Amino acid sequence: MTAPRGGAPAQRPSRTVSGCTKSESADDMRKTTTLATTLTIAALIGLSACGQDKGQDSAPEETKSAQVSADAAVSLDDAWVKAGQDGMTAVFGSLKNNTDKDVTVVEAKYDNADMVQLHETVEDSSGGTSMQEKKGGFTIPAEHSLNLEPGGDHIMIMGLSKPIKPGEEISLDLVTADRQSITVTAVAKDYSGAKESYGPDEAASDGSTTGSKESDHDEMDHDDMSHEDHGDH
Amino acid sequence: MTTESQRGDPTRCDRTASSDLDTGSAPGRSQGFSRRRLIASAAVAGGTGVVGAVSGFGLGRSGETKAAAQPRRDLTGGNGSVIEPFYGPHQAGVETPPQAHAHFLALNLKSGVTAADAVRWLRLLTDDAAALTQGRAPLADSEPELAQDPARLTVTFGFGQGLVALAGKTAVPSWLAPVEKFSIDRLDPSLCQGDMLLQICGDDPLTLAHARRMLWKDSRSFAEVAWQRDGFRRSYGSQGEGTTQRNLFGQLDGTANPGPGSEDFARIIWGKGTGRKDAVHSARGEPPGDLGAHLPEWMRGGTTLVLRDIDMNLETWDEADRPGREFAVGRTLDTGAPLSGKDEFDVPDFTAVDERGLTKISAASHVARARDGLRPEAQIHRRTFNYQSGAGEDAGLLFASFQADIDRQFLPIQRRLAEVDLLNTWTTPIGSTVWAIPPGISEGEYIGQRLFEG
Repeated sequence: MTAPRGGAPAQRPSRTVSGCTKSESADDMRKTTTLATTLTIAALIGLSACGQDKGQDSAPEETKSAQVSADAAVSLDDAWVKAGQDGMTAVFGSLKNNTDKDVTVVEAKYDNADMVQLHETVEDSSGGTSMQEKKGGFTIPAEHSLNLEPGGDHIMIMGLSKPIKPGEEISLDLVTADRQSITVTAVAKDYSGAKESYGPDEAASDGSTTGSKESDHDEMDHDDMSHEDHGDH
Repeated sequence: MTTESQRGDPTRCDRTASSDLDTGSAPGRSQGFSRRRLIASAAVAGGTGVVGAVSGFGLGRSGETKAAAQPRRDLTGGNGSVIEPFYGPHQAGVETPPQAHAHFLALNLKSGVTAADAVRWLRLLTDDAAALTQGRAPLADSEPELAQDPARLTVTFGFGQGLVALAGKTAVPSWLAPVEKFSIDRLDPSLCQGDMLLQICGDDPLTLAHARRMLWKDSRSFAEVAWQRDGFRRSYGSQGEGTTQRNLFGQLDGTANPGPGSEDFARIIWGKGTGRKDAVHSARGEPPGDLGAHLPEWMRGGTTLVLRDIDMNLETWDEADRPGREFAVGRTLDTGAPLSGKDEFDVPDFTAVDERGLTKISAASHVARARDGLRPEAQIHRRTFNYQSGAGEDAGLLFASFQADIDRQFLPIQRRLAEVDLLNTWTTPIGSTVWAIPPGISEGEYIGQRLFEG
């Protein structure tokens, strides 16, 4: 290959025009699926994006996880998030336990949303499936992986405060039972599935992942940008 | 342009005799070095189960025992897992021996899409192509099983004017614009547009359909379909590798192509000589080694594509009898030999005359117009696919012409063919687009990275 690649990760200046500050750091971590957080995000921003209830985040400050992914207790491989304008979305991938002991992920945090929950999909009484919070979080046996996939376990993001555009990389933090916080990244994909309805006792009011959201992909919000005719060759 | 030729020695042609001989299989010619024969031999040596393929060349009507040539079906599914590399100095799908099927999907950017959006799009599509071509399901593939048998899947990206302009007006090369209008053209504007071309090729149509769907799902946020055309060649396994394909007129199509890996290919398509000392050139002469020198920096290692959609009128072609057809092309229909020669790869002799003193190859024939008097640089690589739908009323050729320099290579040929070419009686260009084919990439990069990031 003749492209100049000088060893270091390639500069991606054009990412700065995306208007997403989060994606900058996410991008830098493209190569390593997980990286350490140096501070507890929840503490920093004074808002818990986790759990089922904003007011209850009284957990002690998480410890720093190790600096390289191999040392992090868990990593999220092949991670992706369903692109969305607002409302709910979900994160998928292969949640890998890099240790020789069972690890439980008890919560996940994402800056640009009201709430994040760890979900499982169960059959409901109507014969369909619905999603509900997984009690106790995701436990991954030693040296095994847990697949997070549409129609199965997943990380549910509710109340997006900022659109997640296709191709964008978001970062979120996974917190283990021993309060280790691990930052992972996920690339946004235009995906029509993963819209099973909520269980009846959950906050079913947000219907954005149900119904005919066929125009997900039409909602790029840059209509203000001019663009010349490009159909002329 | 539909057929054209080169290679080999000029020899006398006895059409009656040659029509009874399979290429390279005549008793007196069995030691000949036609390309297909060499490749067939190599395949035998490789022991890759090509008995059926060989039988097509070696036996024909020669009456040898059937047992020796008994064709056998490949029951192993072996081709499903064959992969073409994705990463490398050049994109796959150009020098790659043509697969059996091709989907050409042209997309127009949605209004408001920015350079940053395009980069996210190209990253997504690059990741998809890198996975799909290697038989892996990309992220969020809802039918991952359909990705498992790549069967030589390739995805080749072509950039149109609108996409390149996102990186800045000055980034658009002058040639990245519609080619001049030719008198023979009857262009449908809807087939002459697009900001991005995805040329998706492979030996398995189901794999292709899935790849196209996956690439589309990651495109629909950014672009709309401009047009889409599907084409086909011989199925995998029907003929030996390197055999020139036939178009729907029954003509051999692509005889004059430079061979993959050859010095001529490097110069004519990638625009740069390899520097090898022992380079052998075709009978057309030595092409310049700097045809790509005009390409912008971000395209080094890439090439250009002129994609012409050529309607072929099978109804009126039916009215033409064989001598008339061969006269129009300047070649025989059976072996594809020039009317002055015997073998497909014989060099046409435009001065050879018959007993009446007339040139054997008409000066108005396709082969004469496409090459007589043109300089060695006026060569292209045609990677064509046939199409036919309905009961033959919509038939033609997706004529993908790769060359380093459109002005010096494609246009001189096309201008002459538009001026005079007997084949124009039956063919009509209905679509025409021009594309920049960016270079290949290394893992971790995305297609077009050098355009958007310098």
